[in-house]
Amino acid sequence: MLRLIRLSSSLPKVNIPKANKMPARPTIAEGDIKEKFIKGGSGKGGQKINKTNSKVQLTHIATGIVVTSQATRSREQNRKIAREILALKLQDLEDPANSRQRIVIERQKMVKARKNKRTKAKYETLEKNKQEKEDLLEGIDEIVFIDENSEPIQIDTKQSKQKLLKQL
Amino acid sequence: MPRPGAVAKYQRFLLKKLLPACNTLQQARRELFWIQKELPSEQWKQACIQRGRHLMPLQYILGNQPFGSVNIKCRPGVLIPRNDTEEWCSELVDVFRGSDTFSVLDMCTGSGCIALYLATELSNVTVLGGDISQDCISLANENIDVNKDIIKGKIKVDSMDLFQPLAGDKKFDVVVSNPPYIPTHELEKQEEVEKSVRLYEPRLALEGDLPVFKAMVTYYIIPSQCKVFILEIGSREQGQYTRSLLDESWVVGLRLDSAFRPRNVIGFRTDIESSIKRKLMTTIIELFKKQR
Repeated sequence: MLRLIRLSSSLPKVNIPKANKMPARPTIAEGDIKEKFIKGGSGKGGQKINKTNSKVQLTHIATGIVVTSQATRSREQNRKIAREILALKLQDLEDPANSRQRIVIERQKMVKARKNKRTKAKYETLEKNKQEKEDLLEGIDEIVFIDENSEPIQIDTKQSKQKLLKQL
Repeated sequence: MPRPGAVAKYQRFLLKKLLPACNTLQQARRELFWIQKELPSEQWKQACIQRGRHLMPLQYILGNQPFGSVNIKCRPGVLIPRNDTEEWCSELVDVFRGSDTFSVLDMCTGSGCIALYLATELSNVTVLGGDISQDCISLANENIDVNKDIIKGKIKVDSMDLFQPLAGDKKFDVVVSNPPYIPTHELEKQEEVEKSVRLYEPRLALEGDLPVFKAMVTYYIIPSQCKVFILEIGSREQGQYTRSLLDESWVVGLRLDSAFRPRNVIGFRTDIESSIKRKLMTTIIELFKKQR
């Protein structure tokens, strides 16, 4: 199957607005589309069958683009969702550089990148602190427990070092 | 917080429970999504078992079904509103939008879905819903209450028996109905009627044939002096039979649903407003001829 892949680098850079200042959702004229309700394969209908889904299919007459929606149980909602998807696609086709679809995707990418950056920074600091503490205990070879009234007791240095690290 | 692996495992377990009631995995995924969206987590397992193993209709489990812009409460004992009914109701609303005030009788109203659809979409309408079942009357009243903020027209439901003549001399402009229309011999057959329908939905709302249409015409359509009627049907014969009961002052035709199955018999008197006549004619695919 042939697939058209658009490289994002080929498009000019776009300013990403704040989440509450995104471009308006595009709409579509009712005259430009054909609507169809898709029924399942079985020949039954009416009272004989109780369907839980209601699939809506829209065809854009001029371009032949087809979208479907059956995300919700409500046909009204599915009709709205299908129209929104189709309008987004058409806007993207007309003006790929500034379409809402592109800005939404770019924004998602930005949010993800920002989150990754923060996570990375957090773990870098944690790693750095751990290293510092370890450096502090680096020179100690042996830990000896001293009590005034008894002989010095030698304890497992490796275990005690780990305990100390936790306490630091 | 449960481990992510445990969540995925539980989701798979629920899906497996649901699968017998669904034709495809995608459909099972959708139904699980709706169950998890609408029910609290402690009911998920029980809901999936009810649906998958016992084939209970999803609408009875969730307790509702969207019908146009109306949300209809559902419970056992009352027929669940169907897509096919929603479809012709939306066409009917388009026919009468902007016309003069008119009155409608919705016989066999059940959950009240058709009556509510008309009353929420049109402000120029007065609807009376009638049903013989007390379960239906009380559920329809609850549905009116649930949707009272979006109702624009006037709506009422009352106890009425299809096989008894219309009480008093009530007059209506339009008669609509989704009466029981599955013949007894078909109701028993697995290939004709879905199992979950046979198991859970009330027989009273499903079982019926030509006598139903005879009662509809002789007790309701003719005495109410209505100008237009739209009835849901299960077969072409039921439409043809309805035509045979009416005289030449009626134009009667067949409407198909979006899967091209006979779904409605539509009739109107020749003396109605021409704009309504024109709109009705566009929904009719074939005119029934009066057989001699």
